[in-house]
Amino acid sequence: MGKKESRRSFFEIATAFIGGILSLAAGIPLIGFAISPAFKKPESKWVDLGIADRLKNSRFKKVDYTFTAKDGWVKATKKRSVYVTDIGNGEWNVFSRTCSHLGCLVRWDEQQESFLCPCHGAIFDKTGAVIAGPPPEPLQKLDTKVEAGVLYVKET
Amino acid sequence: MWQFLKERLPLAEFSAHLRKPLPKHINLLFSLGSLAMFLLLLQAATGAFLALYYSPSPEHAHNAVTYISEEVPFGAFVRGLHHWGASAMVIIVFLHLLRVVLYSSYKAPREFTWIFGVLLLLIVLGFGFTGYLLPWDEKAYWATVVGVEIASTAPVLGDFVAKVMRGGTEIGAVTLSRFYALHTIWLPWLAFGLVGVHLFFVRYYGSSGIPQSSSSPPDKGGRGLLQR
Repeated sequence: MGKKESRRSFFEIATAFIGGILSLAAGIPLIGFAISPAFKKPESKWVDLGIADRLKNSRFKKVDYTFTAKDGWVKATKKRSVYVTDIGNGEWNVFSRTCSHLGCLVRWDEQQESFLCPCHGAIFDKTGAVIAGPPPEPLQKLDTKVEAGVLYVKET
Repeated sequence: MWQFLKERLPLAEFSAHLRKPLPKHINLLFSLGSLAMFLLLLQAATGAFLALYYSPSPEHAHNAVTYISEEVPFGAFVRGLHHWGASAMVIIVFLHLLRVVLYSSYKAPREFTWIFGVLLLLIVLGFGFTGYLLPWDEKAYWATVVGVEIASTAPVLGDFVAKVMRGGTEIGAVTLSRFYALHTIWLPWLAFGLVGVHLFFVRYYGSSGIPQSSSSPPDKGGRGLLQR
């Protein structure tokens, strides 16, 4: 028995070992291949909103703009909508209209002086802070800069 | 845990099935079929992953493939496995066929194993032909032009067959879409189904013997599956 059995068990172990190594060698890259989009750093770029002087306004002004960004292998044109106001000293408040709750678009209500979300009744004040409703965090405030009289926001 | 599974599933029977005794004359050439099946599984796995990023339309196909090769982590590796695996598959399947012919393994009572094997060979070639178009580059396009032209020279039905293959009179969006569907849905289902039948017959008849002179008693087969 002894010799024959040890030969067989050697082959069983060797097969399992080689099979295991091959599975790992193929499996780890395959999993990395599939889940890699989750680890991709978002690209950020400055997008031109227009002449800063024309956007100067103590009230919120809605600005729609488009920019191109990479979407996989496609150069996609993306649309964005923001509210812009200048708060003096060359500082700007630019809020994304995307509600921080579930992504509906908020609108500025002049009388209530707040942003209202049509979906679940969220209300944000003029600093973007949540006043009422379910949102977990304030409206997203975009980074801004003015260069050569043009207002830019940072898109991520 | 092991005990729980053992009481509910036929694990002992399955394990015994994997340890079947083999006749003495079995050699390395008899593993070509298993190798073909391993390659089929490799192609299925890598193909399923490639499909995560591929897009079968003329605007996107080529850019998607470039994106896989150049930007997705391990993309070149996964695509390379699928690319070289495909060539290996065709070679191994032909060697497998050659072994069967040289050992006369196709003869009675194993005709059904043989017939299903030949169908599988055609399916492998179908995979090769449809997959070749998918990168949607010059080589892919012209190879398919030539392939379809060859089919169109068949008498009577040639023109009809070519139009069905192309989905029209020229190679374009419809062709790419149907080649992708054939490559990733129709042929895989067919292949796995026929491999099941092929394997059943392989186990049912057992390994074929070495070709004998006509005076020897005929090989009846049937030492496999159902007698256990």
